[in-house]
Amino acid sequence: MAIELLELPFEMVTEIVNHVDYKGLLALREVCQLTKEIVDELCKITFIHHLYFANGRLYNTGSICLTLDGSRPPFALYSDITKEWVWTVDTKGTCKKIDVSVQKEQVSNLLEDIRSKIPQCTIDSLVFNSQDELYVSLFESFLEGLTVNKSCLDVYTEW
Amino acid sequence: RIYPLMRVTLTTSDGASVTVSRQLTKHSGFIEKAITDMAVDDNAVPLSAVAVDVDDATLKLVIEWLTEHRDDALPYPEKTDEERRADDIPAWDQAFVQKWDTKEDQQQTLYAVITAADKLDIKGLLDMTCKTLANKINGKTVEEMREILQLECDFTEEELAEIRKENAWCEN
Repeated sequence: MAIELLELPFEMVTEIVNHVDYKGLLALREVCQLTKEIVDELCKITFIHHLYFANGRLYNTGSICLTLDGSRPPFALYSDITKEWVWTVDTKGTCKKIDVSVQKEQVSNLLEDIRSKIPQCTIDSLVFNSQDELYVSLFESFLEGLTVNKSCLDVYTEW
Repeated sequence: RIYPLMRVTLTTSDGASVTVSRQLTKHSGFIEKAITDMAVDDNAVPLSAVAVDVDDATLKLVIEWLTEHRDDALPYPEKTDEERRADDIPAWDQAFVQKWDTKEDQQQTLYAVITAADKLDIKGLLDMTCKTLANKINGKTVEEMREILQLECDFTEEELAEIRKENAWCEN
């Protein structure tokens, strides 16, 4: 049966696509420009459960960990930098957690890159675990305009 | 307060009139708002007055669904992204939609019911019909989706290669 999906109002198309499963969303991105735009729009990251930043395990590195909410792939985070990312999925193939560790001189680009992809996002819980002045300064810029429900900016536990 | 025995006369876009119980219309945000806000005389809510193309045949299907779901709890629960799924359509609803499979105009009927559910603000019906359509997409290959959705691939080879690279990253 052919479905002339695009005959429906856009809001309803998005409502239908909302119920498409993870693999279906990936496939829809390959169908055409319009379906890719719809999926990418729906998969925007608007809520981060937990964001943790600290000095990395290795000297002169920074580490960031994002715990995501929702059942959709985080397409918004695609970029060259994502090649470095390690991510964890749940049993449904849902992305739940993303970790990245980069050299100190790359942290600025990393944070700018992430920030550009979450223009409007709520961070439920933020832990910033570093005394490094550069990181403090970068994170202040990063958080500008974002909603943070709970934050802990002065933790000196070991990463 | 809803009086279950109160009757409401609905007028369809093609001029038919259907009288139903408030027990059914309480599931329609639109009708309930119309009754409350517009202070409609004689409990008549002319559907055509709001430029909604709900014909008699579609309204009968909507009423059939409402009759089965008259005791559903209100308000309809909001779903989070985590809770969104399409494999939990109740058996009665599946059979209800399945009945149209024998008709040539199944797609048009489904679209008409989805549109009616949206315009009448019947969240349960809208949710179920959207899931039904999503299930026709789930499990299909990209080529099958293009065929089902009647969409042409308008990507360049380079764009398609980039998307496949992104998807592969996500699939892994």
